[in-house]
Amino acid sequence: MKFSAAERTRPTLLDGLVVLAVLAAAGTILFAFRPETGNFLTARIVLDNEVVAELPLSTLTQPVALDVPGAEYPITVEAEPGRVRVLHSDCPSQDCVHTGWVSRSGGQIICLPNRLVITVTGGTADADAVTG
Amino acid sequence: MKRFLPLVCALALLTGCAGTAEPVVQTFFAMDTVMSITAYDSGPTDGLVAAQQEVNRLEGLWSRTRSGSDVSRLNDAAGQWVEVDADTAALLEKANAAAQESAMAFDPALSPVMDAWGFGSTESETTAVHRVPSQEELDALLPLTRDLPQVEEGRARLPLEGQALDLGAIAKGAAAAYVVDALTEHGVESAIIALGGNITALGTKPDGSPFRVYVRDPQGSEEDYLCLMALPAGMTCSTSGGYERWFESGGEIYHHIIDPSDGYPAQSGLLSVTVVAQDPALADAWSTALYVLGAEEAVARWESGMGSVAGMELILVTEEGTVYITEGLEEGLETLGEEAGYTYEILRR
Repeated sequence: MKFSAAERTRPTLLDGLVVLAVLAAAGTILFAFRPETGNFLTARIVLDNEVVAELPLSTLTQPVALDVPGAEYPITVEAEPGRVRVLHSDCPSQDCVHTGWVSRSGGQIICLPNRLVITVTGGTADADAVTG
Repeated sequence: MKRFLPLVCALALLTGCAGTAEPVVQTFFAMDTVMSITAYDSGPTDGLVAAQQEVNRLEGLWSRTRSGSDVSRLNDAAGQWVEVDADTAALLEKANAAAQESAMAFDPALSPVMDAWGFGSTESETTAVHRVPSQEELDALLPLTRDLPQVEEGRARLPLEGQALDLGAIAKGAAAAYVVDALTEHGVESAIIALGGNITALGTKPDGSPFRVYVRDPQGSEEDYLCLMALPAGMTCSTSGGYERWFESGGEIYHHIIDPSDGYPAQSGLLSVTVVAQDPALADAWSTALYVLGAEEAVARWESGMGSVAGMELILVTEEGTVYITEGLEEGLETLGEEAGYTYEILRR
């Protein structure tokens, strides 16, 4: 038991290195797994329970329009830096078009006839859900 | 080696923390609405799949449009006894109790009148033909409402021929309890469940703080909110408002919450009602009932300390722009509608 750490009274250089290594590892892991903060918004388009597209709203530099493939009623989603809307839909109710632009995390645009939902995620959401 | 043990432990602990950072979201369409479950536990997939399967099973029992569902069979055989699932019988009893306690402000047998307005769920919202029925038409239909389904062991019946049941104002809330059970059975302890506008908090957020819910501004756009409130663990909030579905005819607005007493859209002076309750089915049913009953009656019931409403928390938005909020919701409340002209009043008893 000559080299047992428990019996030593003063920390050695190697102990110091271990402490440093733990701190460095902790910092690296925390950084690697940090939650996405700031304004990194993504619009996730789900058609009939499948994700068909994810639009990075924060990194867009100019507007993009996407005709959602496979939709029963042709529908065009428009995204521009920081926000998203349904530009056009052939669905009978037009609720999705009337919703207009959505720009906040947690915001949703729903097209029931198409079973399509666009959800804005990321960024700093103030709430976990919306009632009403 | 011993001195490296803390390093290994620290790494293991940190990876554990990191695993809970990103919630898993399951979004799906059921019961004519969008549902989403956001689970914060690690590895919640089995629970989410089980929850969705449970909703699909219940839709198969409670849908009015699916042939072979318990509700369809009850409607097709109105006047006769029909065998129903135990879950259907339990929901019918719950619906009947809410109907009776609310003096029929909530009526699960209102369908014939709802259909006349084009608000029934026989057609999807998107293809429904909205119209204003004549008084004669309503007079002929109203006698088919208000007679509640009778429930016995394993069977039920609508008392009168021509009656129709629609559980749309309670079924989504009721489904939340089954979703909670399915998630809990699979070890999920922290999730926010949104079945249409019914929001249920399973536990708290991973950091122990309550989930937070926006209440929509009934007069605003999609991203305008009345307030932000804390939804305590195990509670459900449900909102009813005329703004959710309506049509215009001859310059008049007709909304979808029909007053069972006269068959016309409820004119109670309220724009929306949010109910927070332990039982998600009751939160759903009572948000509709209190919208019909109006603010005065809702507050009187809450203040009385007796009956179902006394055990709930309420947000009542009047046409004058006053927002009444019961005291139990005060903690963690953030009001957001001052600029839009709302004033807020906390109700105490």
